[in-house]
Amino acid sequence: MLLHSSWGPELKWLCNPVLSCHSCVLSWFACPIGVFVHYAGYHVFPYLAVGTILLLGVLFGRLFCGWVCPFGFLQDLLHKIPSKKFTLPKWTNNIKYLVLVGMVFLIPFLLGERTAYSFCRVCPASAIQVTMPDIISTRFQSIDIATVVKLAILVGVLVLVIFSSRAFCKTMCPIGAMMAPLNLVSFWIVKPPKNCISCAKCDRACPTDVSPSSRISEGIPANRTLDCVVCHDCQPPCPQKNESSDT
Amino acid sequence: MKPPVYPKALIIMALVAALALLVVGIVRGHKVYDADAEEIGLVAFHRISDRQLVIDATFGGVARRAEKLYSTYDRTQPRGKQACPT
Repeated sequence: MLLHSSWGPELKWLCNPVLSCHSCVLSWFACPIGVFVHYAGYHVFPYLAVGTILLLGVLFGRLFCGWVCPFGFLQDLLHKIPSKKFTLPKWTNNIKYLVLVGMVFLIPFLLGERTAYSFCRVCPASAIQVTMPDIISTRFQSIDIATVVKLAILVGVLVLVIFSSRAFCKTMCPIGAMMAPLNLVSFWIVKPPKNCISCAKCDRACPTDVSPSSRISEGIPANRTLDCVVCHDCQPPCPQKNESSDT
Repeated sequence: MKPPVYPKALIIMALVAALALLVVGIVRGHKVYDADAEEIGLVAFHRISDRQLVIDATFGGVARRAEKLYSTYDRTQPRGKQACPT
């Protein structure tokens, strides 16, 4: 709600590293993916956008993924629906890097910013925030092949996350792909407890299945891994949690 | 396998790189030609900041044609909130 409201400021020069479409006229911030797609089409290096994302990432890592991203929040809600749960294979975590390089940079660079094959054309957040309201406001007159594909991807992602926690974040999100390496150098850390007893309760609580216990037992912050969304869910179940504090 | 612990120097380098990119982004400008520049035989353009180009990128306010950037709207008129065509 806060990211899209008519009474808010328009700070669309500022890239907010979450999946929230700036195509909505009410959005306060710019989506970095949309900006990078356009800059790739312009053949211009996005110094300001990259600098903003890099600064936020160095300061906070993927904290925005865990605490700000509305699409991540939607995934968390859907995953609470009772069903059989499973974890996707680890190799699927690499798909998002291909999405980032291909659909955000390479394809728009080669085919222009308005290409039908950029990530913006299939973004599920955009499908919810822009495409569906547009379909309703035009009384279904704006439906075409591209719209159908976009909505099909949205439905597929929403169904998948019911069964696999944060599946989109781990496997497809290009913002996650950009921010992931910055988890390894961010100032923000999830401090490990001083005397880990290797009970693995943190592993069971982790929504992205990144095995925080493997780092915590070595005294390394839990978020020092690519796919941690810095949600801090690994901390409450820890029986030793009173011996640690966040930065 | 024990994950690598990155030295503070790498973190500081990343921070310096971010700040350097921000400074360049704040300082640099872009030449954007008016939409009808070719039609009337004049080469009219605006020099806009990178910040303005980011804003324009959110609603397709700039398009690239023949190695040049062109505005898709009249920059001399007040601009309301607009939606990105992608």
